[in-house]
Amino acid sequence: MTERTNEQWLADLRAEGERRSSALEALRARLERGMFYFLRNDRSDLLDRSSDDLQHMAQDFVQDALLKVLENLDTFRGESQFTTWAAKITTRLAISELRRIRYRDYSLEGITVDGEIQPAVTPLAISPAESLSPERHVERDSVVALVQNALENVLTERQRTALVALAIEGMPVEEIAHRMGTNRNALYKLVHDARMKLKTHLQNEGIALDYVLGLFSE
Amino acid sequence: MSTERDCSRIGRIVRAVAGTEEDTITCDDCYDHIDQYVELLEAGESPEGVLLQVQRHLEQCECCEYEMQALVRMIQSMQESDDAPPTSGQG
Ligand SMILES: [Zn+2]
Repeated sequence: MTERTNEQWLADLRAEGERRSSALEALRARLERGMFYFLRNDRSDLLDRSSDDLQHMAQDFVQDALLKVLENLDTFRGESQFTTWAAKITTRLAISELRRIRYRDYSLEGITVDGEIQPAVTPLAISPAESLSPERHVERDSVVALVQNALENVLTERQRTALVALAIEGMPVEEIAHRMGTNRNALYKLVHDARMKLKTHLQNEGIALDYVLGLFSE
Repeated sequence: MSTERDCSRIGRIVRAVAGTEEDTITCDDCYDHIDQYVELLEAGESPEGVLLQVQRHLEQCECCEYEMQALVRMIQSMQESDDAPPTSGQG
């Protein structure tokens, strides 16, 4: 069977009977293949799942995604291959579902700049203290104090909570947004504004960020 | 003196802050164009116009970046295992 053009995909999926169902099955098979591959190879949290399990997950995600694809056919602008567009819908749906499962029991309450958070966070590879010269050590301490102070005084409470959850705890934007009663766009903007504000503040304090980065990285 | 833990946490903030540049689009805008962007990458071409803005957003937004990577993996595997004969777009 030859590859459908974008126009053919649209026409077939809008058709009826056999024509539609065969297009739908072709699309389903491809998306399931791609989704299975993603789940098996790119999700460290699913390593302990059997192939059957992953196959079922892929089927469920694709089933939900196909409904979305069919509902949104009119919004496809033809700027990519139809199958890439359908895959985009599938990945977003799957990833946000996987996130929901993973962060189900996770609360933003009590997140503070120096608060303790339950799930293990991969520690940042920072320079071991002994590898810094005494002067650099002092510099790093003063930067830490300056940033801590800026977090408390330059940012709003919402900005601080969001930035800490994102940058320190590594929570996904979508999850933080959900918990803070907002959406992903607004949350991203909130955090981005906070980052810009801190950047400007630190620069105004005479901090050379490129240099300072060296104090914290390997 | 600050503890190693303080340093680790503040280090994350410093890294996030240092990499922050103007970002003109939202996550939704990014999603709107991500299929086109990914195909461009796969074709080895450089983004221009709105796709350049997408690139800048991806550099700063881990969530969109992760979704983009997932999409790349997905479409690669969809192509690899296709039974369909090669189309003119390949090669
Ligand atoms: Zn984004």
